[in-house]
Formats: sequence, C-alpha cells, structure tokens
Amino acid sequence: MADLAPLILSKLSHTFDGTPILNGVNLRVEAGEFVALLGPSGCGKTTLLRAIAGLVTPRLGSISIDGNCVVEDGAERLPCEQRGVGLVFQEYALFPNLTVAENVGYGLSTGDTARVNGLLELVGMTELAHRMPAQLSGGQQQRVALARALAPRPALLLLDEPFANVDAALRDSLGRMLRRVVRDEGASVLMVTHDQRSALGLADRVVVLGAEPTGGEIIQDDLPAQVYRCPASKGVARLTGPCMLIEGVATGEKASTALGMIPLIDDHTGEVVVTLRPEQLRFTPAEAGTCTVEDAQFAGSVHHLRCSSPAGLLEVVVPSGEDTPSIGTVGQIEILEAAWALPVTLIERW
Amino acid sequence: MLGIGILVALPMLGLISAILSRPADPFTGDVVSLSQLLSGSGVGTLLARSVALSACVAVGSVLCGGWLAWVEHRTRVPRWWSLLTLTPLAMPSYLVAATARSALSPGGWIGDLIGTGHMTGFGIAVLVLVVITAPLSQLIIGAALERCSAAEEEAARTLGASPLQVFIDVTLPRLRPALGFSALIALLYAISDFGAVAVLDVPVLTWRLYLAVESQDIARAAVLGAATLMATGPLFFAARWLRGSKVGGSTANSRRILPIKLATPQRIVTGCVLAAVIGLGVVIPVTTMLMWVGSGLSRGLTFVNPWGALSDTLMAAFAGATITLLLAWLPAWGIARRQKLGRPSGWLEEVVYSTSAFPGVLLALGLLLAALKLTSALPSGAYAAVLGSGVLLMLGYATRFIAEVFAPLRDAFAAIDQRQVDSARVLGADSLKRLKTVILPATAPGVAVAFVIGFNAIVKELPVTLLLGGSTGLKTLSFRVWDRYSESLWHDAGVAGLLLVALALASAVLTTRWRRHG
Repeated sequence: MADLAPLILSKLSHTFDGTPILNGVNLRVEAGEFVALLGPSGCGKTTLLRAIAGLVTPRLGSISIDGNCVVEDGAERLPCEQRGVGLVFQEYALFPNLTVAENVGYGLSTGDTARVNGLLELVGMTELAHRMPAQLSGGQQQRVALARALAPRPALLLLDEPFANVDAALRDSLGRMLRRVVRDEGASVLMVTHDQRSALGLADRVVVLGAEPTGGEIIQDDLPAQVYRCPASKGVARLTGPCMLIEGVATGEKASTALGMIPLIDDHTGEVVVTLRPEQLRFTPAEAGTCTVEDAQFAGSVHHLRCSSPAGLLEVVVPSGEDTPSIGTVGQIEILEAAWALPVTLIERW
Repeated sequence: MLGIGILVALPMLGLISAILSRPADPFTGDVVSLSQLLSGSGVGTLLARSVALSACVAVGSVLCGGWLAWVEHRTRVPRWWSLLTLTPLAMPSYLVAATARSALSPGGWIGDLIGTGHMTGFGIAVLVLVVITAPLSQLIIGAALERCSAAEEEAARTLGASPLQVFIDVTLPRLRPALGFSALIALLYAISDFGAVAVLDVPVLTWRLYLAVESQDIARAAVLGAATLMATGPLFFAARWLRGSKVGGSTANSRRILPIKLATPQRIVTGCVLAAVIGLGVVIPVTTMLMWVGSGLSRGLTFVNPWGALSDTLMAAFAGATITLLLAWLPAWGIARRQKLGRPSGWLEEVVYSTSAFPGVLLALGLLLAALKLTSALPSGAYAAVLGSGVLLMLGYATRFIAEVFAPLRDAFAAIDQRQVDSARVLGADSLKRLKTVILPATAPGVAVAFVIGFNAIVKELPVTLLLGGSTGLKTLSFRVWDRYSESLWHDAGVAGLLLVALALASAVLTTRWRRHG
C-alpha cells in the first residue's frame, strides 16, 4: 500500500550547468506537520522547494506527494499544475491585474466565493477584498499570497522565505497568523528559510540543509530545541544562533579546555569542539579573574558582553541593570550547564 | 528567425548581385565597368556632401538638443515643456522641409515679411534636419543629465570650483557617452534622410540614389547604394557600441540637483533655440499647411477626396505594423528569455538592429534589385506581379521598422514575472489560462506600444512607399503629400499633410500614454 505521507523525498539530487545543487536529500513531512528547512544562502533550499512544486525537475531521486510519485530519476510523472501543492513565493508574486479576492480565487476551478470569503476572513483581509495588489502593504500582500495558496486546499503548503520582506515586528505577528491559519486548514507545511528565529519559533521540526561542495545535503533533522542545543556540526551551530566553539580534550562526561573543565551532555573521548551559547555562561566581576569585558552592547532587557578570555572572545548575556559590568571590568566566566561537544572528526563538515 | 534572416539578406543580396553583374548603361546599352561607374557617377562628391551635411546636423542637433535638455533638467520649466519640445519628433522631414521652403521663400508668408531668398540647398537642409533631430538628442542627453549626481557637483563646488569648472570637470565627463551617442544618431538620421534633401534639392547620396532608381539606371543606383551603405554601416555600428555606455560608477547617491535660475543671456539662447525648434518644427508646418488649404478654398480649387488616401494609409500601416510585429515576435521572445536568464542576447539582436543601417531609399533599391534577380528566371511579368502584389512593400516596411518594433516588444516580454507564471502553474492553471490571465495582461501594453510605434513610422514613411508602393495602387497620405507637392497642388498637399500630422500626433500621444501605463 502506498505511503500516504504528504511529502516524501528520496535520495533527491540535482545539478545546474554541472554545478551540484542538491545531494541525496531524504525528507518526510507527516500530515499536519510544520517543518522548517533551514540553511545558508546557496545551499539549494529554494531549488528543493521548486522541485517539490514541479518548477524544477531533479536529475535523480524521487518525490512523492500524498502517496503519488510525481517525479523519479529525472522523469516527471505529474506536472506542476496537477500536483496540488500550495506555494507562497518570497516576493508573493500576486497577479497585479487581479483584485485581492480574484487572486485568492485564482486556483479554484469554480467561483467558490464562500471559500474565498472564508480565507479572506481567516487572514484578516475581508475589508480589502476589492483592492489591487499594488495598493497593499508588504504584510497584506503576504496574507493574500498565503490565502491564495491555501484556497485549493492543498495537502502540502510550501513557503519560500515567507518573512524575508517584512520587518521584525511584523514577522512575529505574521508568524503567529501563519501557524493559526495552517492549523485551522489542516495543511502540512514545508517552510524554507535562512532565518533561525522563524525556523525555531514556528516549526514542529527543523531540517538543516548544509552547503557542502558536493551540493546541499541534510545535516540535521530534529526538534527545534534539539537542533539549537545539540547542533550536528559547526555550520548548524552557527546557523541556529550566537555560538562559541572551544577546542578541548574529552574524557567521558567532561572536557578539558582553555576555560577549564566543562561538563558535557554526552560522553566523549579525545579531541572535541565544545559549543557554548551566550545564555550558558555567566560573568562575575573578580579582581583575580582571567576575563575582561571588551565591549558591552545594550539590548533592552539584557546586555551583550564580549569578553576576552584564555579561550578567545566569548559572548555573555547579562540582565541590564545598575550593576551591569562596564568595559574594562575584570572577572570570571562560569559555565552554567552541561555543554554540547562535537567530535573532532565532524569539524570539517559544514 | 528565418524571417529576420530574409529581411536582412534580401536587400543586401539585391545590391551585391547588381554590383557584381555589371549591368548595362541605360542609354548606350554597353556593359559598364566598376571603375567607369565610380568615376562617372560622382559618388565621391556626393559622399563628401552627405558626410558634410550629416556632420553639420550632428553638431547642431547636439548643441540644440543638449541645451534644451540642460534647461529641462537644471531649471524649473513648465509641465508642457517636454511635450512642446518633443513634438517635432512626430513631423516627417519632408513636410517640415516643404513647408519651410514654401513659407520662408519669397512669396511665402514669412519670406515676404523678412525678405529672405529662395530656401533651398545645404544651409536650410541642415537647419531642418537639426530641428527634427534635436528632440532625439534632447531625450538622450536628458537621460544622462538625470543620472548625474548632485553630491558630486556639490563636492566640486565646496572644493572651490566655479559653476563652469564644475560643468567641465564633473558634468561633462558624465555626459560624454550620451553626447557621442546622440551625435551618431543625428549623423545616421541625416545621412539616411531622403525627404528633406529631396524637397530642398540638396545633391546628396540618398536623393541621387532615388533619382537613379526612378530613371532605372541600375548600375548607378547600385554604386550609389553601396556608397550609402558604406557611409551608414560604420555609423550604425559605432552607435550600437556607444549605446547605453556610462562613465564609471558613481559613489554618490542620485539625489536630484536643485534647479537654478537662468541668467539673461541664457534666457536669450533658450528663446532662440526654442523658437527655431518649435517654430520650424511645429508652427511653420501647421500654419503653412492650413494656409495652403485656406488658399485653395478661397480660390475655389477642387480638392481630391482625402479619405481614400487616409484609408490606404490606415490599411498599409495596419498591415505593415502587424507583419513587422509578427516577424519581431519570436526573436524578441527568445532574446527576452535569454536576458532573464542572465545570458548575453547574442548575434540575433545585432542582426535585428542592423536593419537600421539601411536608409529607406537604399532598402527599397535593394529589395527591387533582389526581386528583379529572383524573378529573372520566371516568365515575364513575374517581377511586375511581385511588385504589384504589395509583398515587397510589406517586406520593405518590416525591414525598415523591425528594430523600432523589436525593442518595446522585447521589453514587454522581459517584463513577464516568471514567479507569477510559476504561481499560476502551481495553482493548477493550464498554459491557456496562464497566457490569458498572466502573460497577456503583463505584455499587452508593451505589444500595443510596439504596434503603434510601427504604425506611426509607416504612416510617415516616404521613400519605401514611393519606390515599392507605386505599383500596388496604394495612395497613402505621404504619397499624396509628395505627389501633390511635386505638382504644386498645395491645397491637396496641405490636406494630406494635416491628416498625416494628426495621425502621427495621435499615435505618438497613445504610445506615450501606454508606455506610462505599462
């Protein structure tokens, strides 16, 4: 019996003009799941999305949508227009000659005004149904693009960098709306982004696509918290937020580093790279300390301190207040919890 | 693609085969050698005169057009400035020349007032062609002035440079490519022009070429044609090379330069240039034609019904523009797709643009010669049948104007947003629905502009219509103006000329509006 998961990618590879773009990508999206595909620029994220939508035919591997194999080893079995997926483009790509309501209803074979009205209400655009796209703000255009993609009730919704063109304040509210709308519609989502905040904050699962010389390949596929706390490579660690990498030698559940002994989450033996997030460190002023505050950046409720230490420059987050250490303060850096270590064999990986 | 190849190859083939076959002298019947032709046809003198005329026109055009552009972009001008100064673009050169000759010569409504002599020859031809090409220079130089950075000029001022020094050191280097390009365009226009030099009786290549074709002196026509091509070819390629070139990259922002107030001498110069361009390019032609018509009415002269000429013009322009559009369609589509993929447009675009190197009269000659050659093996009467069928006329229009139609068409296709097409596909739209809902709405204004540009150009066209349209029975407005003017039937020429100007102005206004809309 065919596997009816909304999306299954199997050993997907693609090249463009001889340049490898994707390399053996395996991915599965379950019904109702919100998956974020996170990766640096040029790793093949958008190509992967376009391949799923049918706008690019991958050279090798297969894609199954809702149990139907739509492409296999370079042979397209189902064209783009028959795949029944929704796609929200980075630039929204609204039809400039159609009104908001006409845009939303474009993919509906019959003039289902109830569906159009329902979706416009869902995205809060009922009042602007008769406006033209040029008369809308970026956030409003994004809502229309989302409603348009959802109108034909796709089993799978693809989002290409949906927050790339909106400011930070709008990003949060649009993100919340997106979660609510796709949950109400019962759609499975694959969202491509290079923004770790959207990926970690919105998705049920985060898949990291690494930019390897042999083409983009999946480096890690896990829960958002796990990807953040236990990155599978240096690239993943850096992509998912501020991170310090400190070399050391592990003996079981501890590693000896220039900062002293650091407790590890997992047991290791031999050379490792310990990954530390700013919130895992605490700076305490002490005259006999080995660290000095080189820079202090105010960020509202917290200060970001950059401290020189025997292990190099470290970033520490401290609450803003009267006793916030100033530049030049000498002190000690303490590690608050067990850290994640990468075996040295994985260092060269992206 | 094959169509484009034929358009370019056919006139060249006709010209080359005529030169190689060393045709007979039309009077003695002897086969003439190339050296005899070269020495006997006065080609050297004609070429020198053509080049001198074009050089004078280029200098005048850049000075007048450049001045108008500078006033437009560096001072506060009224909103109607652009519309007024660019109106001469809608005027055919033969109408401006004919009305100037009539109005300024003794007996003319201005000639009698200021007592001028007969208005024919080199000087007045230069003046007429400067007036017609100045708006082109104004557009090109104006675009370059628009790109100049206020910050760069202000930096020079703060470093102690006088306004003149700023112009020489900062502004002029930025304008240099535009000045060169507009000079080349004016050179190409003047050396290719037939109407003005014919009306003002200036013995230059194109006018003598037309006379040679009319008297069926094929040998002489072929040599003059080759000389014309030798003059226009290098100019065309130089213009292509200079087109779009800019000086360096600006590190400053492109904030608009604050408008200045003109000093009295500058106001006087502006008034003179404006008077020449608007007076000679618009006021004199329209007033003179109205006076011709008024005089005909007051003298009770019989007018030829103009509606036949109008309908023939509309028919010829509609058919010609449609054929040109269809021939330009595929290359424009292909090149727009290549450019969107970031690939160079390649040789095809150069081939399309190379058709601009053929002056109308030379193009008509090439097509006539090619038809003569190709039908020589067919039964007698085939040549006349081909000529009478209008095929050559349509080919002539298509070759003459394909480059003008091609550019807006290519831009229209390049404006298709691939993401919108992809979006429609993902939403399940089949190719027909995508064409109807995404591609056509995006390209329609550009396609319409391309069609109207072709239509407008054909309405005003003269040499191709005269040489290739004569046997078709089509009597277009331009043909009527030429024919009636040659027979001194001013009142009929006036009616046809006014209709022609109205048609040209209407389509120019339509093009501008659609361009803005697009």
